[in-house]
Parts: sequence; C-alpha cells; structure tokens
Amino acid sequence: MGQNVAQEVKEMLARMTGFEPEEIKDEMDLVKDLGVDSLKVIEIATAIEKTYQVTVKDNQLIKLKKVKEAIQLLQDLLDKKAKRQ
Amino acid sequence: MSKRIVITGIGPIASVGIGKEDFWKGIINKNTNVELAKSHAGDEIWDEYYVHKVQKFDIHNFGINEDDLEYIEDWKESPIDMDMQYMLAAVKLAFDDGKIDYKKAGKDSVGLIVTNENLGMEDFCNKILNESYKKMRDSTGISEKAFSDDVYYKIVKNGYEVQTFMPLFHVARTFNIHKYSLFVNNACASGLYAIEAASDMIKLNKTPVVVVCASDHSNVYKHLWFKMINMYEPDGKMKPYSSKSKGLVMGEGASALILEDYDHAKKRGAHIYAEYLGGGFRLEGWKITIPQVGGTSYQEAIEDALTASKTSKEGIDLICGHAPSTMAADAYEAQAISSVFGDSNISVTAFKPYVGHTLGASTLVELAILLLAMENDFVPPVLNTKEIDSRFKIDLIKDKRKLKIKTVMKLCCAFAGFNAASIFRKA
Repeated sequence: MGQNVAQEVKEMLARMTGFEPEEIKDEMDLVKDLGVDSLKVIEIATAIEKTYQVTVKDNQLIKLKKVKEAIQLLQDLLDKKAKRQ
Repeated sequence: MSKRIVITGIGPIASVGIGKEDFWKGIINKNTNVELAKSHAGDEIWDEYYVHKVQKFDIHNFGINEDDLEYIEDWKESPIDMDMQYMLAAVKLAFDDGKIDYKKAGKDSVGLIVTNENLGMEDFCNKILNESYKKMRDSTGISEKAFSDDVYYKIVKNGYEVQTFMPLFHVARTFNIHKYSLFVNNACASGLYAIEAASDMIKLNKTPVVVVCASDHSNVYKHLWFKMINMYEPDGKMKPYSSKSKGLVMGEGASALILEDYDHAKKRGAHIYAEYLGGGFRLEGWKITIPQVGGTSYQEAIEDALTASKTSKEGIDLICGHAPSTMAADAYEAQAISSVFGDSNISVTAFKPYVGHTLGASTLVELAILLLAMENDFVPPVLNTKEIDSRFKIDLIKDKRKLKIKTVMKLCCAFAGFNAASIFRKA
C-alpha cells in the first residue's frame, strides 16, 4: 500500500509539474525543487480529495512542504478512511 | 414597483483618518500609518508586528451621550473594548453625515444591522490570560475550587459579551433605534451581506432607513493567527495581486453606512452618494482559510450580482477587489474577474494598502473609500504593487487616475468561502 501511495502521489505531482515520476524524490521540496506554489498545493489537495474521496484539512494543506509529507498525508487519510469503513 | 435603495451617510474610521473628510484626505495623502506594534508579556516583548493603526481616537470626541457610554462600561465592568468604541463612533459619524437626528428618527424609521467577526473576543482572551497568570504566579494556598470559582466569575461576564446580540443591543440603545435589527457575520464579507439584508429590510417596508456598521480592532491574537497560517506580510506593505506578496497586514477601524429608501431620502433632501443595485452571494463550503482556486463559486457570485442589479458586464466601470494579498485568494479573485469579464480590460483597484485588512469591517471601510472615489471622480492608485502577477489578466490601477466612474462592483472572497459581489451606481 505504502509503495502504491508513494507512486500515485509522485504521478500526480508529475502531471502537475511536468517532471517525470521517477525524477521526483521523497526528500524533494515542493516549492524549491518542483516549483509547486500555494496555488498548485490547492490543486493537489483538490485532486487528492476527488480521487480518493477524503478530506484534507486547512492546516494539513498549509503545512505541506516536501514530497514525503504529501505521501504521508495521503497515507494517513487513507488509513483513517479504512478504519471508518 | 420595487423600491430603490440609496446610501445617504458615511462614517468611516481607519488608519488613514477618522470621519469622511479626514479619511479621504488620508487616502489622497497616503497616510497609511503603518506602525510596528509591540505586544508585551510581562516585561518581555512577546511579538512585534506591523499594523495600520487608527490615530488619535477618543470615543468621547464624537458627541455620543456620555450616559450611554457609561451604561456600557457599567455593564461590562471594564472599559468599553475598542471594537465597540469604533463601532459606536462610526455609527455616530454616519448619522451626522446623513443628517439624521436619531433621537427623533431612531424610534420609528431606523433599523440596524451590526456585523463583526469577533466582538468581545479580545477582552475575553485578555482576561483569561491575565487572570490565570496572576493566580498561578501568586498561588498562595488557594484551593482549586476557589481558584476556578474566582476566575470563572471574573471571565464569565466577558464570555457573554461574545454573544452577538450584545453589540446589537448596545448600538441600538445608544442611538435610540427600535425598529427591525439583525446581526450578520459572514467573515470578511459581512459588510456586503449586511447591505443586502438592509436592502431587503427596506424593500419589505420594515423600515425606511437602516444603519449598517462594522468594526474591527487589531490585536496580537489575530496577528499571530495570520502569521501561523503563513498569511502575514513581514515588510508591512500589502501588495495586491503581486507575485512578490507574502500576505496581509492587519488594519483596524470601522465603517457605518446609512441605507435608505430613495423616496424617503429625496423627501428629506438627503445627499445621495450612490444607489445599491444588488448583489450576488455564494457559499463555497470547501475550506475555511483557503479558497478553491479553479472552482466557480466566486465567478457565480459576480454573475448573480450582475443579474440581480440588471447590469451588463460592460456597464461596470470599476471593480474594487478584496485582494488580501495572499497568493491563493488574489489568484482566485483575478480568475473570477477574468472568467466573467474576459478580455474587456475592466479596471480593478484594491484599497487594503491604505488601511490594512480590517477583517470583518473591511468591505464597509473599503466601500467608504469607493463611494468617496465616485464622489470625487478620482480613483486612488493601488500602492506597493510594482508588478502584477503575470498570471492575472486584470487592469490594476497603479497610477493616479481621474476616472468618471458611474457603476462599481465591490468584491469579497472571505474565509469559509463566503463569496460576495455588490454593485453600486452613482446617483
């Protein structure tokens, strides 16, 4: 599951940034390395919500800085969703 | 035939000035009065932050009945909080400007709508912190129950002050207003919602005159919140629609407007600033602090306003944006404007660099500037923004412009997704 989530997040970021998925590394900074500004972060949140039927909270969205944090966020949201079902 | 609604009084208070004349003079002279405020915790500085500070304000200088002010103080068992002081003063200025003798007219022909996001909250937080700290520091054997009882007793009165009927009651009582009244809170868009509600009140014959007022006092708690969510501009200069912008700078102040039935205003020979033609209002319902960039809610509010006011998009001469200078909100707003107005090169202005972000009071404070701009055929230039974000397709007024403006649109995309657009036409 973890690997899949990481891959899916990287593919999503790739679609939004023009990078290739394999070029995107966990430790990369969304702003400095991938040029993801706050508008793109909102697009990412919207895409995550739509694709996975989860809710990203304001503070989670504001705090996103690195690729690995985006992966962790999606993993946490999916775990939470699974527990509720 | 539907009634026409006009504005016949303005009572603005902001960092640029107090009262219509000084306020406008301050705008023209760019007296933004940004100061570095210091918040103290004991002997230490807790935080420093820029704020557009209201200058030389004294509630006793407005000719408000001192007994009525004392009544509020007695009730609160503490000085009147600044939010309330600004609000009372703005209402008095608007009554004076509108030449309405509220002592006579208040009873049978004046309604009231009050808007404020956090009235009383500052006092509430101060009391909790100060009283708790003192007791903790000096705890000398007092039992926990006695301590709780004591602290609770001291703060409970302020707890009630955050109930929204309180400012409505105090303002109404002070100005002898006894007709239909409402409290409105739609975050930063409160003022535009309040104007719509006032218009409805008049059209439904509940009252021929409604005072709409809003206030906001700056404090360190609000600042810290914006800083925490990365929405504070550290250089103290708000830069609407700029790629260099990092966020907002708080302002403080109040504004009151007199909304009136056109026939009623004509009959008493009132000066008419503008007519309120109608508004559009949408609630996005996505996130509290982040607009859904790419969504259509804001655009729909603008389209609704054009429909409600029976105005074509070509009929709008100027848009006054909310422009809180956060990238997301400014982009969202620019996107909504472009979606509706396309390539028509509609002129856009933004007044927050003059007065800061006065939060719940912002739409009414900025509307006061807009009404005075229409009155004077002069649009103050947008300060601080050197280069517009290249993604925003808007014509931002960065230079002084003599502009014959007849019909204007005020916009607001507030926290919690309250999207509002209101249209006014010069009388």
